[in-house]
Amino acid sequence: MTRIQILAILASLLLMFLTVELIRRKYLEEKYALVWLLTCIFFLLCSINLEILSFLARLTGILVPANFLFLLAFFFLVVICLSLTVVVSRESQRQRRLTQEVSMLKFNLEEIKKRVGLGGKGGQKGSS
Amino acid sequence: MDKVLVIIPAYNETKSIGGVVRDIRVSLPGADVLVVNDGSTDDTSGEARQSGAMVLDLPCNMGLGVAVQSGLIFAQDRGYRFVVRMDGDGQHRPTELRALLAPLEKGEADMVIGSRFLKAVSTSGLNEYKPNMARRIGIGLFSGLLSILLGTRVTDPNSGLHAMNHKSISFFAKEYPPDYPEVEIRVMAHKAGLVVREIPSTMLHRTGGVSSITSLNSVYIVLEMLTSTIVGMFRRVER
Repeated sequence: MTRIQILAILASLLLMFLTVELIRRKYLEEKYALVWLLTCIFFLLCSINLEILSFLARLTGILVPANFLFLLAFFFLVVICLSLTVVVSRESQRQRRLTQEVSMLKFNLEEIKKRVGLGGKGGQKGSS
Repeated sequence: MDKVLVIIPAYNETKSIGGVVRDIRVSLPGADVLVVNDGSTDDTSGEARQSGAMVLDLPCNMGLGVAVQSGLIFAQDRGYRFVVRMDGDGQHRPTELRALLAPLEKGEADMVIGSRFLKAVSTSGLNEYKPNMARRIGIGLFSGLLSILLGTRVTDPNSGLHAMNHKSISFFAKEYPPDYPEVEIRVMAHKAGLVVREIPSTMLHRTGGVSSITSLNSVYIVLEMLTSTIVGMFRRVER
């Protein structure tokens, strides 16, 4: 086992430990965590058995196995980024909906308060 | 007159909002006025209440489209028959609201849009809004594009002066573009089969506040609107 191999295994294990720890502390939801765990396992396998990477590189016609790794990492990161923006868009849609709902509820509350004589900020037309 | 709600989305419009609300209540005495305060940091909300408007306070600044949509949901919940959407900066003239509502009342259109570039009335003596060169190019681009895509003449793609009947209200309450909605809603209305009519209107120079569009972000905005227009043509719309 070469020195770089040991380093790679340690790094993969560290990443895996980090992921599991984040899930355990509920900083990372399981549905997003799965893809990271699978990545860790892939890294680990690649560092234990160097042949995997060489085989995949030969399969795709890339001369240097390291380049295959870079290509893979790049694609992976692009996909992750894209899915993150999807998540963000969905969240902001929900946030919009909630904001509107809150404003409506506040309005109704003021109106009811005024009707039962609790006083309000004077939201209704013709109240002054 | 039928129940009419005037929706004014407002972000930091303390200086102008009171006057606008009072003018509407004079010009259109039967209508209710709803100011949607889009998370202003100044006293827009208080100023609007004082002048006799109802106020929806959005807890944070969510963007023009979200504010307008809040007003539409409000109108739908409370059964308003017609809705007018206008600006809170004093650029639109409340005296024109009756003309805007007329085609709706006669059942000739589902949505009426005040166009700054259709000329029918004399505007002499008014401090009329004249867009600068960059804006004229942008407006020209979108009116050309929309006219081709929708197969009907669109003279003012960026107008913020709209009137809607119940059909349009329930359609747009469900979905309304959050940012720079004016161009996109034309596409949406077209796809939903709403009858849209433009009528001439005058727009004045703003009396307070600042435009949401600056020169820095304008290129991005134009690209964003272009994308949403073209993508919008391919989107499925629930009628």
